[in-house]
Amino acid sequence: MSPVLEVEGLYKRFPIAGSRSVVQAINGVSFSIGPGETLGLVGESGSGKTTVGRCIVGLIEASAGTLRFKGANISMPRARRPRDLFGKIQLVFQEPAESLDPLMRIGRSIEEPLLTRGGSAVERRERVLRAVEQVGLRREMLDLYPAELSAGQQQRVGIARAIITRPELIVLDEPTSALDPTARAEIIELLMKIQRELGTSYLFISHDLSTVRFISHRIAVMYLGMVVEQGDAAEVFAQARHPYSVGLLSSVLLPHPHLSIEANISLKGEIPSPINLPSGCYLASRCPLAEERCRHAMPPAEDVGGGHLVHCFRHRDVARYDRITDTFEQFQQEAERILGIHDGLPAA
Amino acid sequence: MNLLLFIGRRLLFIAPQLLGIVLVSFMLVKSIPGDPAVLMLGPTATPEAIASLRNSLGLDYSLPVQFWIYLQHLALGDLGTSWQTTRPVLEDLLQRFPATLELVTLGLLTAVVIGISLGLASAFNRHGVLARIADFYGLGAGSLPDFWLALVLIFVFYTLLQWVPAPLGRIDIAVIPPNPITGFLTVDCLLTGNWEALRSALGHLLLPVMTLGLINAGPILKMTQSTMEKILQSDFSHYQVLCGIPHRMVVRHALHNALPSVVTIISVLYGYLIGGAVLVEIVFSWGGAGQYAVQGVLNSDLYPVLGFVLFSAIFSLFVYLFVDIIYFTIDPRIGH
Repeated sequence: MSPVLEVEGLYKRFPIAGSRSVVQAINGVSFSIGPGETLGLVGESGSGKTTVGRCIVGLIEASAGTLRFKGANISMPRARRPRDLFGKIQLVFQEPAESLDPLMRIGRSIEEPLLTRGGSAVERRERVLRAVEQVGLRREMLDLYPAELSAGQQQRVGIARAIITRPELIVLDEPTSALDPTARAEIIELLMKIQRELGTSYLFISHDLSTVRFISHRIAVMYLGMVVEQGDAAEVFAQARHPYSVGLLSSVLLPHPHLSIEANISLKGEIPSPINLPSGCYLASRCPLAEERCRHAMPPAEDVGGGHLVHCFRHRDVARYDRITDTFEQFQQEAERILGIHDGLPAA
Repeated sequence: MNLLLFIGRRLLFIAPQLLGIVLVSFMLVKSIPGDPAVLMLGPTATPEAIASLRNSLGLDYSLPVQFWIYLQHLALGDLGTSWQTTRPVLEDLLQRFPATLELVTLGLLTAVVIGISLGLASAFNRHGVLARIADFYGLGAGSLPDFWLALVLIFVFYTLLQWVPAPLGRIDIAVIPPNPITGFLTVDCLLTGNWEALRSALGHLLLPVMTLGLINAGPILKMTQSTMEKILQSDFSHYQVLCGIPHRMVVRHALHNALPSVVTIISVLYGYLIGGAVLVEIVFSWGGAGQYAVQGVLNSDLYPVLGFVLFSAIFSLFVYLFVDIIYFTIDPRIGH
């Protein structure tokens, strides 16, 4: 099936006020998301994940590159996009409390995306009620103000407001990182339920790898504004081929006393400044496997099988080092056994 | 109904608040060094004369007793007598307080108009010309002393251009003011239809009002600008933009959210200016309440000072009550 979203060679540069240098926030990001698919976009803070999401929804304009939504070019900011696409791409924010107008009743906040789309008040009311039901909130909450809800409930409002326009793609910008573990699990479960029912595609931006592993079909790992590795979620987690992915995965603390990740690749030092990017591979200065050629040229994307793309000259060597495979797989099985989950779905 | 309950509860607290204010200010004023009896009788007075005056003024009672006597008089509407003007303080204040209030209110209104409109304009377009003017203005208004600006305005508009009358009081000496009804000269002129007096009063108001307006627009501008910017950068404003809500509506929602902070700074300025405008009053020989109180402090004239504190306190309490009512109407969560 043709992809819902295609991102090709996306660049974003932010000028720095009072200076001639620019922050190179995104440097040639390409990926695509299929219908009903979840792409997990992971990376540490400052890697440009959120900027990618904001370019896609049209809050900021990309400096270069193309964005296509079901074949239609949407590389411009939101206001200049084709009108019939309004509401087809939705956004859920990281901080649920800040994403809702504190002086607006919940019902009105959920209704807001419909206001510019015509339709009668009765019709809007019906859609609000349906959305509220879909996200598991009670009708009485429509008359409350955001401050009267818990963070988990506020995020449900954020999701209700996103699905009310019947979007085909929702950009989820770290939707669970401001929540406590219980609420986090509930929101993830809700998102998966909505995807099953409505077939919505997700771009799930997060730095929480265990959550990403759970919800994503495919994964893209970002480092300094570029996707260094992407592929099937299970495969990337099992056989990470980029040293950065290995480093990132080994930083995960699995909530299990007997399982710990042994990494043979440990990254040194700090993430370089996005103002003066290194000339070769961005990771060269931190990578224990770096050779001379890594410092001079950016490794091209290489397909290691089944659409698993890696930007690394030495990905074969990485594969030999890597022992994360088993641990993650083991943990997943262990978790599923404890939670009584089969095939990734909660048992009824 | 909710609002009435809210106001009722607030009014209930006003009496004890006032009592506390009177107690504290009585003790503070009494602790100012200087013996009024000595000042009243002058340097050649005999110790016996001073002692007998102290006795007749009740100054040889203990402080709590003096306070009790003051309260008893207060309950009867007697705020004491000023030995400088030899008139009852209540009469003096009823004449001077409206003068200050008229000046401060109009000055603050000017400040609100300048501050909010510039603040909004600069939040609207952060890189526009208006935003730069606003930044520069905020800096300037914050660093200029008001009495200095007053003197510059007098020099330019009275001495050089002669567009305004001499900075001596509230009305030309040759013009007969209307009989006081409210004490606000402009209002009284309007009520009595005395256009000549109104023209003169407005002319005299122009410069001091401009002074207070230009200086006090600074903090209002800063508050409007920073709050609006923060809200327009917040996720919910971004989301409204994303929904295709027109820019003007997004700004209106943001303003609704910014209003409580702006109202707060305005109310603080209002309460402060009643006494804080005294330097401007002096420059324009305004004859207002602030000037009256400062004279009282300098000459150990206790009752005018206490009277002024009491008037300002009542005024401030009502301003804050009014502000709470405004909060109540702009923030739907309060009554919810």
